Amino acid sequence: MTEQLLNIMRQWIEQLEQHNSTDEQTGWEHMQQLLTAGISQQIPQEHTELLLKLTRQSASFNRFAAELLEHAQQDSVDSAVLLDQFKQHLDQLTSDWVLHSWQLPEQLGILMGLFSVQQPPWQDSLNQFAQLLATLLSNLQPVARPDLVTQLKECLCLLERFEHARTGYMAQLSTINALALERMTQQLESDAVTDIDQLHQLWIESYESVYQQHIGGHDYCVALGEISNAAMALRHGWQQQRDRFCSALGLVTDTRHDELAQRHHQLRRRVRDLERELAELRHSLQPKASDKDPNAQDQS
Amino acid sequence: MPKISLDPDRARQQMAARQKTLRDSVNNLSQLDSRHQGACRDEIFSTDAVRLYHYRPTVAATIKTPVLICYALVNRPWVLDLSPERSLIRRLLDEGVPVYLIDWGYPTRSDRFLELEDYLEDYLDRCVDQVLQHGQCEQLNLAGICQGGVLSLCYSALHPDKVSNLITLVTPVDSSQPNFRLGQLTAHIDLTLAATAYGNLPGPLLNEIYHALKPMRLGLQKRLQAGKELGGDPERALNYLLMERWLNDCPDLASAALQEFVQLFLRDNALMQPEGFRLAARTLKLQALELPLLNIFGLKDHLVPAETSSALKQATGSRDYTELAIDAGHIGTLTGQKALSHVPTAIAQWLRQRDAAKKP
Repeated sequence: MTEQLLNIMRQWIEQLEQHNSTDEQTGWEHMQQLLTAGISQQIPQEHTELLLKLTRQSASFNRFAAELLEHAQQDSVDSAVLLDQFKQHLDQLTSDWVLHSWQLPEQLGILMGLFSVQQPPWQDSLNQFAQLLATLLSNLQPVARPDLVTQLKECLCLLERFEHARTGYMAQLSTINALALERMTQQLESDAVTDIDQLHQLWIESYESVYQQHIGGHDYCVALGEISNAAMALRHGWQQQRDRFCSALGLVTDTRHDELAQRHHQLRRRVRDLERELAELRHSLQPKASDKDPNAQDQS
Repeated sequence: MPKISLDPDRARQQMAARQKTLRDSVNNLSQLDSRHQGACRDEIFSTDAVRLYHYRPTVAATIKTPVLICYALVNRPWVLDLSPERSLIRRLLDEGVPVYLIDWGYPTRSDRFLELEDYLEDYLDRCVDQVLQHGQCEQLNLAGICQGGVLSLCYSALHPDKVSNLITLVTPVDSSQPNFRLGQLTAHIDLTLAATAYGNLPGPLLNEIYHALKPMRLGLQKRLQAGKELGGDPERALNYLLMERWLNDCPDLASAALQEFVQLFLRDNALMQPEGFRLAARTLKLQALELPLLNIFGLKDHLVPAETSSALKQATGSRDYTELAIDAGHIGTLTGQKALSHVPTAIAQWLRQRDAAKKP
């Protein structure tokens, strides 16, 4: 690890220790920029990612603890306000996680980037892009080739299906968040929490117990299946478009490459079967060879 | 109204402790050499991406029949030899067990058409033949891990003449168990579409599904504890780093084989069907499996719950069935300190007893 990065990390930790919130944010941002930009090629990627996670978590823990402390100095913390803020924070995290886990095809992501000032993971850009595509379709329909219109319609349908599935799945996760918070609130009513680690642990326990119950349900499994299938259908649709472009340019498509690979595997299986048959034949002939009269062999 | 009556002094102590572990973590990460250093081994066979390794013995052999470890197609087998302290393979070698290991490698796009039959009748069968030749023996002991356990059960049913004893570790057998969440979560995913959209199923995507089984414990809780692990003594930090690296080392899965696997063993619950199931142009029945069987599983395994594994007792026709339940999770059963103090010795003893019984 470079000295530069080490020094920045140490400075940032010192800022954290002094609870200087403005500086802390600046230091954190500076360090995150350095880490993500990969300033030091000497740092293994996994160390960099771990440091990012650790520092992000520490910053968030520190911020949360500082807010709680501020409230605690006045009186005990108003849990209703806190839990409401926590719910909003969780829904935001959930949304980020869903967008990160079910990514759009790479080329589509790049294309969306051209039309949106927002950075990945594309929050509302998907809706904007679908609207843009719908407008393009309505303008092009009277003049464009029918096959191009059909392709655009297919793409729009797949985007709408993905967006619908994403909304459905996020609703499931939001329900889990709400139920977990409800359980946490009940726990807080019976046992007052005096400790930040305890509060985190309580949240983890509450969430996992609700989550485990919920994911066993039919509705959740259907929603998970649908978002997975919609993301895959979108990717497949996009690949088909790419195949059409490649074919038009006389290039070998992925589909054609796959067909060749499939034939190769079929031939390998055939060879394997033939080798097995040959081995069995040889095996069945062996006893006969030993039964042979050695003199007869000499004469041949 | 729920109240959070925070103790300010305690909160400040916790914040300070967190800064300290962060500082220690930074120091550890800047100094540690986290390269994986496995036990001494020789590659004795390779075909396509598959590699077969023979581990050099550390003591004189106490068992004549070698053990071939068949790992899952998911993730990588080096978790069995994570570090000198966390190594099932080294502990087995120290017990005098001759060890061979199959590394399935990383499938390429053209491998998407590999079927289960290819894995069983081509790769695994050729590896078995190589071990028999290398070990100069007529039979071997097969040890299958997780999905590799299912492959080993199938292989033993296909070639009972080549397998002397079978050991299954954290192996899913009965997918109908209500707490087998993996089966439920993947029930509505269109596998044909997955194959056409991705070719091979991306490993990171599969990791997301595993993560979705316990998102808070594997996410927030793990991150909150990461500082303690990384800021602790260097050996502990190194093991944590290696484990993190292993978790992210997830090869893609050949889609045809995956599709067959999920359909047969998760959706159709094929291993539990008394009438058997079709695979590699044969009808296989676990009831016809009569070889000695050692079934090892974790009582805290959330991926393959204990009930899913222990169902093997009812499914198999073996009259020499032994069960070993470990108080650990899925990976903990293979690499945890508690498990490593118990599992390798138990395997070696079980094999020695059967090896001795076979001698004329």
